Amino acid sequence: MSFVGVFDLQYLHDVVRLSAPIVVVALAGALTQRAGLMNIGLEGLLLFGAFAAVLGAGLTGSLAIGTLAAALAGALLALAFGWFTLRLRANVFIVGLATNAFSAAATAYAAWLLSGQEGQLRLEGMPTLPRLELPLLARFEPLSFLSGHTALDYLAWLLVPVVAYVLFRSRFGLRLRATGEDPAAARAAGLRVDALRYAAIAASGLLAGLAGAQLSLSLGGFVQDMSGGRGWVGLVAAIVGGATAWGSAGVALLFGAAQGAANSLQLSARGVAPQLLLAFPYVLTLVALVGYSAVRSRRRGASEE
Amino acid sequence: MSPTALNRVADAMGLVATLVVSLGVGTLLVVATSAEPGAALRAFFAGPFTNAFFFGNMLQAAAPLIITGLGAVLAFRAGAVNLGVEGQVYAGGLAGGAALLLAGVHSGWFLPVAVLVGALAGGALAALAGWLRVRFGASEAITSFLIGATVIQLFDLALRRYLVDPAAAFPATRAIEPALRLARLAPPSNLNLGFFVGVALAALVFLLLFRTRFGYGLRLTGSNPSFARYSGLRTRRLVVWAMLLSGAFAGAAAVLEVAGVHGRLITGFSNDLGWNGITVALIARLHPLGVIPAALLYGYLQVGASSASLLSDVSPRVATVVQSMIFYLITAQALYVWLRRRLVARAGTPPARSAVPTSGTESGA
Repeated sequence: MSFVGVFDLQYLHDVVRLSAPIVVVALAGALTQRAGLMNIGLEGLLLFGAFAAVLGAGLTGSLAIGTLAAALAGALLALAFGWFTLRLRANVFIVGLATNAFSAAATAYAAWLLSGQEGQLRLEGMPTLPRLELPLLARFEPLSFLSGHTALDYLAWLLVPVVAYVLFRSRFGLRLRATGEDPAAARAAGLRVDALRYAAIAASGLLAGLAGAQLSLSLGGFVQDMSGGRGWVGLVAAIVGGATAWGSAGVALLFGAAQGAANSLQLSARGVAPQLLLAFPYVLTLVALVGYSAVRSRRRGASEE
Repeated sequence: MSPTALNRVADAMGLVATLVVSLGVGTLLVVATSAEPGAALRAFFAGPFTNAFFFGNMLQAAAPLIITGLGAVLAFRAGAVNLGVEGQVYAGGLAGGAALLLAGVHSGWFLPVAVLVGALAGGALAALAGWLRVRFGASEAITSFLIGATVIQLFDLALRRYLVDPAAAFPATRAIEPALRLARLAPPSNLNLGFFVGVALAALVFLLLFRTRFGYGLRLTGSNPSFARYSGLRTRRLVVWAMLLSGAFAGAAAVLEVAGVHGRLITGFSNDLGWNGITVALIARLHPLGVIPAALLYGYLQVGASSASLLSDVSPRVATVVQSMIFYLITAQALYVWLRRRLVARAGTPPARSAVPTSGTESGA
């Protein structure tokens, strides 16, 4: 018998799996947050990606094409979001909301058109993401929970250092952060503010699309509203994580851990209503956001007013 | 032309452009997917006017949207982004509906009381989000949404676990007794007093916003917060009040919908009353009287789609796609600015600022 119980390994495995898409959305949120834009449309971008993934993988039978389709669809819808916010000067919250509304309506309608069924799309011959065992970790029991995930789950964690590098070590990241801090000053310094913002928005859409692919390709189909609030959770993770890659991913991991705990509570204790489980991520992110804001406003102290 | 008149013309032209594009997309969808596009289009566009049933339903579909739209206007005018309207609708429906079902009062005077109960429930939720912003600086756009999303689940839980009628075919309570419902004015359509309540409320909100000190302070808080603060207005308090009123309208709309149309609580009864109310407010350029035609437009689309699905082979989902297109395009502030500039170039008068205080690209928590 090992020093880590079987249940705990299962729980840790769930946490890695559950937090992976939230990590990716949180990275997406960090990118737009650094560009000085609060991207409420992440939920819709994720849903759009999830749908495109099913379409791509279902029509071609290739998971790679499904993943690519999701990333592309997310980036395209994000560019529309960017065009409305930056070029047409629409309110960023309202465009985000419009993105969510459009995505929900368009995917539900398209799913109905393609399948004739309400609220879901399953294409025949569509592959699902296989679980990959990592050669050494799978047998090293204390860490075996890190093995047995899908390729996109692993990718989620690999993206954290990538985004960290882009944000804080690359010239692009430096310029993007300058743009987010003070657009007028950045423009005066000769930076192409709008181009930088478009790039950040497209990248965030690409990541949100990937997160959608994670959900639908491991499920093997599209279900209406399958994003289930992950876009919002990821956005709050990015805010609370200070819009750094590691911070956002860390908070996303905590959210995933709490969700995993709630899930296993649901399994062990009968009578926990499913609605409470569905409400849980919202309550959790609300508490985290308010707590974070309270601490920050106290730190800023009375200088504000 | 005076600058105000120029603004109005530019707004009208922008709205027409938005509608043409969105309805064009709707037409394309119908033509591409229907086996009998001619009949389907006729049912979609002319349906709401062909008989009293569809026409009454169109007016009634607009009624709750007028009220939730007015709620959104009140919050946005104060610079508070209330994205929890949908949740506030469910909170109001649950509180008011439970009062109607469980209070044991059997006469009609109790209905306004129940509407007030619903308004209080919706208002409390929105005010909480407003308070979290002024107290802790937490974005009310996010907190109001998160609170709303939680409440929607709690509504479902309360309905299914405590209020459900086991004899019903789908999760729903027993019927509210007739004395506590709003009578149908043009049966078999759903039209009831709620529509006229909505119109009256629009006039009331107009007076509140443009003819009272409170309304002036509220608008000033939204359009220029620091000026409002330095001129001695209690802007924090005003924001919480605006949110409270905003949520109260959503809650009241819900009770009227429950008592007037459904006659009981059912799962998903709101059917996006809150989200559509936000769009309606934006189409109306945040003007309380503009909310009435904007809501009627939404009612028209909804009934048009249901007429097309009844009389032809079109999914009622077409309406949601068209509505979301309108939502998207209506946000394009620059379209209006551009149109105004064109008009100005032609008329030779200087441009005025837009009446809508929703611009900019804010970030932060």
